[in-house]
Amino acid sequence: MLISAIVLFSLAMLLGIFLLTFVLRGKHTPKAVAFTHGPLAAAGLVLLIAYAFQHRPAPIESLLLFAVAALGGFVLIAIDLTRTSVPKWMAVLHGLIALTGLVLLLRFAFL
Amino acid sequence: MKKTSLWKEDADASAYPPLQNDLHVDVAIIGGGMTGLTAAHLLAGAGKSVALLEAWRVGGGTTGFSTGNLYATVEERMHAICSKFDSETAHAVAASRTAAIGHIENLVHRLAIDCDFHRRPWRLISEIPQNNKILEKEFHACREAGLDAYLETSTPLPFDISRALRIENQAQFNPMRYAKALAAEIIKAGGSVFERTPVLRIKEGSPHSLYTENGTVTADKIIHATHSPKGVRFVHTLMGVHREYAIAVKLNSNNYPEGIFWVMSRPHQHSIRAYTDSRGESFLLVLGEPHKVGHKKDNESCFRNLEAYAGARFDVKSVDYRWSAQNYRSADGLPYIGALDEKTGVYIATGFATDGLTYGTLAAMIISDLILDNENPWAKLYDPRRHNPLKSAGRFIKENVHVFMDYMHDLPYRAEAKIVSDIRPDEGKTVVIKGEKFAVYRDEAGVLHQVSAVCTHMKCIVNWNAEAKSWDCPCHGSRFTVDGRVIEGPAMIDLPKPETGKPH
Repeated sequence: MLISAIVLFSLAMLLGIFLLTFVLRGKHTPKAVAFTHGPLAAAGLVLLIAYAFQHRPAPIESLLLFAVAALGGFVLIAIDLTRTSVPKWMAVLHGLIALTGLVLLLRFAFL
Repeated sequence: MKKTSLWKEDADASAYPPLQNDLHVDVAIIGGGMTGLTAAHLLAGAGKSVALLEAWRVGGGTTGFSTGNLYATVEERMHAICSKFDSETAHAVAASRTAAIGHIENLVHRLAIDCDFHRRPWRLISEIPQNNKILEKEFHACREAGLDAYLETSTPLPFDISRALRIENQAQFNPMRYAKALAAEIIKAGGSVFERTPVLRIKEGSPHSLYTENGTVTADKIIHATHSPKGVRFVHTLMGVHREYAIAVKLNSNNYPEGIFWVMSRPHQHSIRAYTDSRGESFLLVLGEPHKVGHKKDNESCFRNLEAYAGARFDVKSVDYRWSAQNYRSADGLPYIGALDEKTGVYIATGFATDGLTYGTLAAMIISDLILDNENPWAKLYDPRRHNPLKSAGRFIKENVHVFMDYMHDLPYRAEAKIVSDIRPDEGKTVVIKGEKFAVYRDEAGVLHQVSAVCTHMKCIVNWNAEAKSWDCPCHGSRFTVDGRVIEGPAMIDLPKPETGKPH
């Protein structure tokens, strides 16, 4: 379950980096990628929550960071769909929070 | 053959100036179609200061491309309303729509509007016995709704039928001539009408501000009479947007049937009516072939299908006019009419399906009553804030799955043409240029018209409409000219042109 979550988060991260290149260049994000990135990360989060309920110790810090990143993701997609452009700082912050969550998760799983 | 509606050809051109200065009014109305004009007329007549802002020409949107039919029943069938709601609701729908037709008739007579208004029977026709069961079901629903309905086995149509459902005392008119007359009456009542005045931005507040190119209107109340409210609103997720096609043909026999005829067909019905214009020339109008906006590549085939349909049933001499129009279907089968929030004073009127001339009038009556603090017996029935998730769930899910799938077509670096030179004359395609998607149309003279392909409403990728020569958003129905100007739909901002100002 943990490995599956890591795989899903890693895929989401790759798509997220791809999306970030559009945001940082001030271009429209390809929505097929945006709408794949979100569900992949959400699926990873669901697996992580399920793991946390079933196992002790659980990667709580990582889970909290991903939850915050998910909330940020909802705000970002709402802004992306309804306003002219996504604030670059917000997209970078969302990415950094999620990346920190992934690093902590990898450390929890393999170290 | 003319690529415009018969109504637009058979009405005098209006000439109202664009807004050129700032203005404060009690009520600002966006949209000069049936809803906006009727509301402006009612409110100006009641002493309110009113400004009507029309992006193009009065009646030039959906009103001028409609059928000109007025009826108490609904396109999606009364039996659907009976089964989804109850017979009491169906009764209220029929009564409210009958009152709207009565309002139009009263105005036509009181103001002596020359718009060829006539009371006519409405018929739903089953050509084959297999459809008779549905027809009988509709007959019982119409009776339950209090309509004067009958079953019959013959009609004035020249082709064989199995059975027909007839409702007496419905009506037909020329909607364009009616719209133009209403606009003139608004001016007489002290209201203001501005054409070629698209609203570019709305700032809701107290008062509301509506920004246009050359002036700002501040108003205590706003009515979105634009068929689909402007801006991003939850109600857009509740509606499916469709286009439907019409042809006007001349017959060899000169035998034009009187009345409104809806002929049941699979998968969709056809609507037939006759009209004699001000020069005394008669036409038969045949309408149908609906599809979701932005979802049909070869939409010219809709006209070919209509011509084949008409040719198989009538002795068609010539096809003289063809046009198309857009409609919005609500999730639960009833339109959304009323205040989005009583305190803010923002009113919407949408989800009329193809029944917009009658529902538009009714919407204006309801919203005017709400603004004037008058009781209206149907305000609650059509309240846009109604909660009926079970009745709305099916279409809500279906429409939003469609929207999701439309977004999923927006793949990076993928478009319909690889390079601009692949686009032939009179063809429109999306192209990726420097990582951005552009909607590019090459006109018949070879000149390129290039705008962003990303809809300014909610960022879907627009699709080419070959018939109307427009860019149509498949998600919520915003439409743009080849140069990016908003034609209709919820978008307010034009599709931007490339930064250089020149095609790439």
